[in-house]
Formats: sequence, structure tokens, C-alpha cells
Amino acid sequence: MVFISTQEKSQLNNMIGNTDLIFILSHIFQLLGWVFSPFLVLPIMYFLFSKNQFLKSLSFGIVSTIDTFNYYIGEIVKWLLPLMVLTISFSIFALSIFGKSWTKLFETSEYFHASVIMLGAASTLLAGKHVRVDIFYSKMNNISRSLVEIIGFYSLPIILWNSQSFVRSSWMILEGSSEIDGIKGEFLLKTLIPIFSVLMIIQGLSISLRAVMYILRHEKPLLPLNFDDTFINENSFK
Amino acid sequence: MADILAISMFAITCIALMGGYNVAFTLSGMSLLFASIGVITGSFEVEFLLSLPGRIYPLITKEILMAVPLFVFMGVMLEKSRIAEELLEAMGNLFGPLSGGLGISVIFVGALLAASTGIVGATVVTMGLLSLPTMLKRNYSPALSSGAIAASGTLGQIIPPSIVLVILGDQMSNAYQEAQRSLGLEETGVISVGDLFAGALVPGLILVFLYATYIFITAYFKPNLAPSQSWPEGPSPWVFIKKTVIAMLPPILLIIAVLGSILSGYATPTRGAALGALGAIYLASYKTSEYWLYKLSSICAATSNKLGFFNNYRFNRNRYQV
Repeated sequence: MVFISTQEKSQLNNMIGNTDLIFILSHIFQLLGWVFSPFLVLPIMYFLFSKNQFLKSLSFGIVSTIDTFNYYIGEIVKWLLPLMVLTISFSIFALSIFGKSWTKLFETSEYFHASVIMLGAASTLLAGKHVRVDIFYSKMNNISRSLVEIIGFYSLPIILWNSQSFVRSSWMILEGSSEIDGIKGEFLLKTLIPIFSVLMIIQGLSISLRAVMYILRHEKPLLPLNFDDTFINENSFK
Repeated sequence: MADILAISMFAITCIALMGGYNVAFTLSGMSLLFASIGVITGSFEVEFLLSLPGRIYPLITKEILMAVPLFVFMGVMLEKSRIAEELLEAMGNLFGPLSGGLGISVIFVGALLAASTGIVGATVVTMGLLSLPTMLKRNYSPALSSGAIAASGTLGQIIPPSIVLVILGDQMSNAYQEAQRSLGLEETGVISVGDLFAGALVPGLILVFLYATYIFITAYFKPNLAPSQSWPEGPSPWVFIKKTVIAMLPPILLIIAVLGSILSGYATPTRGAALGALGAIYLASYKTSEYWLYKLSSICAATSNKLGFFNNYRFNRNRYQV
């Protein structure tokens, strides 16, 4: 369960002092993961006990919370794209006009890129913009589409599980950049991987709950407001 | 046992893909499912799964892959700045009297867009919306016109800068090095994305030329499929030529800036793409003065949604290598 040997730990201990704290923190996160993992069977429970009022209101709240959360994350993260363009162009101009190579600036754009990719994926899922092979899917009726959504949901937790030792060891040495004058925050980039999987899991949960609500003909929460044309309303279940 | 597992994984994944769940998660779910079967039957080590985050990590930090969102951003920006519309209108008028003229101008506009953006989906949709009604109004055959649009829209895959080539270049340089190592050769040279761009340029142009020739010959021998049309009454031909040149100028400048800097080796593809995106922002802000911020926001949203497609590629590649 803990993928770090005592020998490794003592090696890390020599490098930096606060390994114990991070060790404890990682266990707390692990515990939180165990506490929240029963929510993954919620779609099935909801499907089986569709008359239960508590399950109904619980999943309604969960879906609207998750969707709003991921929508706003997507809204914030998308502004990193023009920032990325500006930082890279600026570093090019700095190099070609003033002859200064500015590694830190270029690496900033690397952080922007990683954040857009990893944090924006869940809002893409919310918008239903991930690629599908829709030869049969486009001809299916809504019930079978919803079934596809529910069945497809149970595959993501493995990345989360496996990234723990990877991220933990990076945090323990507070890993910096491989460049000499780079930014000393590589451990933050690595942390994006578990955050990505958590966001994707909760978004998958929300979508499969929506699918169950569709099948049961229950009322669904509205998708976050302020859509523009990229957030086509509920295109996966229409 | 491992062979049976591999073959059945392939077959079942194909069936599951047809089911219509998001491609990324179908592929990953299937590979994890079969990995767990492999663990149970003893033909797969659990420890391999531990390397999964280590394989995702380089994909979000590699410099060359940063070119992908930049090219997508640039493409969406150009699409929303209505460059294609103007170009198509001007060229369609100019080449009207030529047999199959409108079809040929569709092909050329597609090639220009392909050379300045590098993404596919957007161009096909834009071109279809723009040119299909005009072509049908001028009595083009529906088969020929939709064929021309689809063919020219997908030129973005081949003509550099193409995102597919960026991803392929990353993959092929690894494969090339591994092949040399396994043959025991000295590691001589690498394949870079710039090399792929240079290599794809001429075949892409030949393809454009062949498309145009096909439409010209078809229209020449069967004029009823693609009837030609005289210039509109009034202004002299020079007006159309002038309009076409003015409409062609911005994309051509962008192409020279991006492709020129990449192919000449002055900039890496990432930096070239950033310059191109900056140019596209400038063009778009020049063309659309009002609601500029709002448009930028919708462009960013469209870009980050389109990136979902490339993510699929990124994460799945991992699973299968494992």
C-alpha cells in the first residue's frame, strides 16, 4: 500500500528535513480517498433504489456542485492559453532583440501548458467535447446512450492510485527544475496528475448520475449558466 | 496466454469503441481491464502500472508538445476572424469564368488555411458552411462540391504546420533512436518535427495541385457538373484581383512567419507556433474591434475543448506502451 521503502526514506531524510510531515499528509489524503470512494457506487445505488428520496436529493446536490465547480475551473484555466502565447513570444523577443535567454519565463509557459491540459480536461468532459466514434452512438436512443455513459465511467481511479508514490517522492525533495536557473517548482507540476484524475473522476460521477436521472425520468440540475456556443447544452443526452 | 490476451484486447477494444463512449476513456479502461486480467493470470507484472504517472508526466512538460495548443489556438483564432470568408468570396469571384473555378478556389482557400493553421475539424466546418451554399446556388453538382470541400478541409493534416506531424515527430524520434540502439548502430542524427514539416511540404502541395487538376478536368469535360460563371457586372477584373490579393495577404504573411521560422531552423516549432498565435491575435483584434474580450474568451474555451481530442492521444499512447 505504501510504495516507498525505509531505505529510500532514509535517503530522502538526508536530503531534506520535512519528509515526515509530507508522509503524514500523504496518508491523510489517502484516508480521504478511502472515505470518499463509496461515492463511486452511487450511480448504481441510485439506479437500484430509485424511490429513495435521500439518494435522489444527494445526487442532485452532488451533480450540480461538481458541474459548477468544474465549469468554473475550465473558465479560469482557459485564460492561461493567451498568457502562454504572450510569455513564449516575449521570451523569443527577449532572446532575439535583447539577447537575453530567460529560462524562467519560458518555463512559466510550461506550467501554463500543463495546467491547461490537466485541469481543462474535466470541463471538456462536462461540455461533451471528448471525441467519440459515433457510427452507432448517433443512431442510439437516449436510454442506450445513458447506459453507455454509466458503463464507461468505472475506469479512471487507477491513475490516481498509482501517482501517489510518484508525487510523494517529488514533494519530499521539493523537486526543482532540471535547468540551472529554472523555477524550483517541479513538484507542483507532478501534483497536477492526481488533481487531474480527481477532477475527471468526479466529473465522470456527475455525468453518470445525470445518465441515471435521465433513465429514471427524474429532474436533472441545470448545467452551469452563461454558456457560449462551445458549451452545447446536454448534447450527450438529447 | 499473453498473445491471446493481446489479441482479445484489440478485438474487444474495437467493439467497445463502436459503442460510442469517449475514445480516451474507452481505450484506457480497456487496457486497464486487460492489465488486471493479465495480473490475475500471471502474464503481467503489477509494477508496470506504477510507471503510469511517470509516463504521463513527460507528455505534459515536453517542449515540443506545447506547440499543439498553440497551433489550435491560432487555428481557432483565424477561424473566428473571418479570413476564410473574405478569401473565398474574392477568389470565387475572380476565378468564376474558369471552368470549375469556384471549386478550384475552394481547394486553394483550403490549402491556405491548412498552411496557416494545422487543425482539421474547424476548417472543414467553416469551408462547408461558407462554400456549399454558394456552390449549390451556382448549379454545381452536390457530389463534386461536397467532395471538394471535404478534400480541401482535410489538407490541414498534411500541409505543415500540422498537429498530427508534431505528435508524430515526437513519437518517431523516440522510435528512431530505439531502432538504432537495438541494431547496435551509432546514434547518427535525429528526426525533428522541423524535418517532418519540410518533408511533408512538397507532397502536400502536389496533393493540392492534383485536386485542382481533377476539378478542372471534370469541369472541362462535363460542364454541367461545375458550370462556369462570368464576372459580375460593373467593376473591372482588376478590382477582383486587388480584393483577392488583399484578402490573401494576412494568411500568407502568417504562413511565411510560422513556416519560414520553423523550416529555416530559426525557431523551434513551439516558438514558431507562439509567434503565429500572436500574429493571429493581432489580426483578429484588428478585424473585430467590438466584443473583443468576449470573443477571446469564447476562442479560449473552444481551444481548450478541442485540446480534449489531443489529450486522448496523449494518455492512450501510454497505456498501450505499457
